[in-house]
Amino acid sequence: MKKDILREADYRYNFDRDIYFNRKAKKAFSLEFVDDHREEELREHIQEPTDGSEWRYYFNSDPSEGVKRILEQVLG
Amino acid sequence: MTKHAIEEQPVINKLREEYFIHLPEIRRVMEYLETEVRYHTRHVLQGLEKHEQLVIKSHVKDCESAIQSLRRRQEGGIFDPEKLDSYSLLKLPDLAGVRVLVFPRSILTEVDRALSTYFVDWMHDPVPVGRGAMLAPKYRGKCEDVSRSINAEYQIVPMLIGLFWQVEHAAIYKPPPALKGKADSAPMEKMRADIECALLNFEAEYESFVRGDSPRSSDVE
Repeated sequence: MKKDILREADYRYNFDRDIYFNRKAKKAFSLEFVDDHREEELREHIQEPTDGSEWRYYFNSDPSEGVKRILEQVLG
Repeated sequence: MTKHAIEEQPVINKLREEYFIHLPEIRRVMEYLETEVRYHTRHVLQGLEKHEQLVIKSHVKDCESAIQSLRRRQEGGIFDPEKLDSYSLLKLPDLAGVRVLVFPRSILTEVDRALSTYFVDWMHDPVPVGRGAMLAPKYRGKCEDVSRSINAEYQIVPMLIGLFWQVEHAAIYKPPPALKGKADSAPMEKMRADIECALLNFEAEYESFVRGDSPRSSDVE
């Protein structure tokens, strides 16, 4: 299950914003994105390397700069 | 209640203003819908046996619930401050609603038939149970005699399930902040499904008893 894949990769669920996030990896997946993508795609995105300097968002619609600012406050 | 970011405040202020502008209209829709539902189910009510029940409840979604409901529909659960004008509570499908509670379940079909004959253009959006079977019929539409902008819904629910939902909704679906993320865990989700199943089985057994069928142990899938 997708939920288990995310949990095993140390992603937590934010119940207010309906997103899975991992502070160490600095990645966040929206619930809609998780629903609309296959398990294999999800695994690939989890494993994608990042330089860790800024958050990477996996959303169906690219979040605006305003939404990214809010997400950064929420995710810390 | 969900804590919102300060950047979302202009959107929330705009939605609150919109809500109170439309509140008299939402109430009119609720009263109209309730009246129509009562009228079109009166023959069922009048024909009830002593052990049967039909209760009609109506509600208007309150301001904060409406805003949170719209917010939950946004990806990431965030109002984009750059899209202030794109948000409207009028997009919600259930600002006004009526719930018809019936016992036993056999009355549900009769009520559903009576109402769907009148609300012919309303969209069917049933509440599912278990493996996709229908738990309760639900319909969405507009009461155009009183409003062209407010969306409303009515649903017909087995009474035992409906009463359980009243408690469960506040405790699990809209839990206090301290319980968020715990109250809707997988074990609770399973218990919820088990309770719904047990209540449906109880009704099935009761109806079988009333009909005079031989005793059986039913299992609702």
